[in-house]
Amino acid sequence: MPNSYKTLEDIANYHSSLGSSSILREYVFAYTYPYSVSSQNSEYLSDSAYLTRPFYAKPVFMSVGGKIGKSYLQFEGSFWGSYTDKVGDYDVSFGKISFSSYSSLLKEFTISGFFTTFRRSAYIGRYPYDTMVLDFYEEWIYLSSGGLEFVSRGDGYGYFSGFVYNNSGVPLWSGFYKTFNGYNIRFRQISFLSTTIIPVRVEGEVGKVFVRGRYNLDFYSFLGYVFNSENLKNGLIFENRLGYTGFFEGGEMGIGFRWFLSGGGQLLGFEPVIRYRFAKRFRPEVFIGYLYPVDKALFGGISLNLFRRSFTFAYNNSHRSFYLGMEFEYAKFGF
Amino acid sequence: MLSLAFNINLFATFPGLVNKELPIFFGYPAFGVNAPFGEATFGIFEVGGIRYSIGEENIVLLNSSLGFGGNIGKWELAFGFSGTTAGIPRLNIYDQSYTAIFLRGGYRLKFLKGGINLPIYLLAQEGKFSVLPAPMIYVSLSTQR
Repeated sequence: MPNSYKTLEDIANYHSSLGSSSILREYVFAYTYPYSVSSQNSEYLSDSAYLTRPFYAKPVFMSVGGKIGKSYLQFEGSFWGSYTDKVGDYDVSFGKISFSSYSSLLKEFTISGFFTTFRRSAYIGRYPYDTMVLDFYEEWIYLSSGGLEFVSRGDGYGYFSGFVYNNSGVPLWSGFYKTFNGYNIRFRQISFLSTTIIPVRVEGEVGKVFVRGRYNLDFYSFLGYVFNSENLKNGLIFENRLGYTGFFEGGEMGIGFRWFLSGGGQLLGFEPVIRYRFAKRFRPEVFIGYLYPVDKALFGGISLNLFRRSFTFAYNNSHRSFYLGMEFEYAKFGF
Repeated sequence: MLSLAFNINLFATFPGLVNKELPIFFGYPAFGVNAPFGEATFGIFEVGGIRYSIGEENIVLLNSSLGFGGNIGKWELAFGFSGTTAGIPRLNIYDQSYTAIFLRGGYRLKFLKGGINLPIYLLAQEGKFSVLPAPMIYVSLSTQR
């Protein structure tokens, strides 16, 4: 962990080195670059951008699909960026095509192809130009990646494996998950072809929901480890989450708290979130949360269900950005 | 629904047979979890390693394997991917990581299993692709039959 970390991006980058897809509830394909931590020389690579925003904020996102016979075809795409961080700005685009079907051998299976582009610019400074004052950026990293993933899902279990081809290594991952006795477990392993300097990492997750009638309690625990033959303790990371959902006549309230610890027991960050969903027409939900240690990392919003569609409006103070999204049965759009 | 099975494994190989610079015997323990997917198929996840000194030289090997397997009678077959990170100064390997495809065949006898594990390391550097098989034997003690 670099001593210079100060913002969520630093934390997120560090987590990304461990492949925690869950840190901000985002879908990460594990093509992370373990040295993409923010440090004095600030190296940023593909996935760091995935992890720098709260889970609901999708500046531009689209997913659309439909049935073809007994199979299902889906297209998914998104684009987002940042203009407020300390280094400069970045933008990321992501596209995916998935084909899902069923066979007696593979059960329900999905084959996905996807690509990403990542551009990172450094903020040089604000200088006068003619009669104006302009912000100058320099494009200094451009990456594009493409990959394939295979997923097989059975009753209460699943297996997945995939790879990405890019110019910083070829990560190859595989994992499985299983549900038993109310527990959910998941294991994942990521190693790299074409390079030997990026260490292997492994992850384990366990979670359970305790149903208590008028309320539910849930917990989730993540343990990741990046192999390090020099110092065995260095690569450990923990994420834990506790949740409460209470059911009342007027609605349902959720309180969640998650926190991150390093292998040395150092607290890396935490996030409390409170939600309330009213038992009324449109089922409106309000939520507010705080993400430490990001400066002013307060976020909040409201969502409605209307004609079986979900609409969300949210504000994230750390990015000073608004999000407006709507979700259909087979499609999602967000701005 | 069947629950998880936990295993303690010992993997061993004999690198001294192919390189006199290396010890004749090399082994490491690993902790594993088997998650049954059905009556005869399961997922495997194992993490293990060893660290020891020869003179002033430290040798470290960390290994993980994740795969998919099946039982045919008392025989067990599995395949998947292994990731290995090693520090072996004698071979000029300093904290370097490798990926392998592994194939495994073994025999079960109540709580005890044993057989052959064959990781085939995929080496792709500087535009050249090669493979390095590293056959091993293994024994495993499981919490389930």
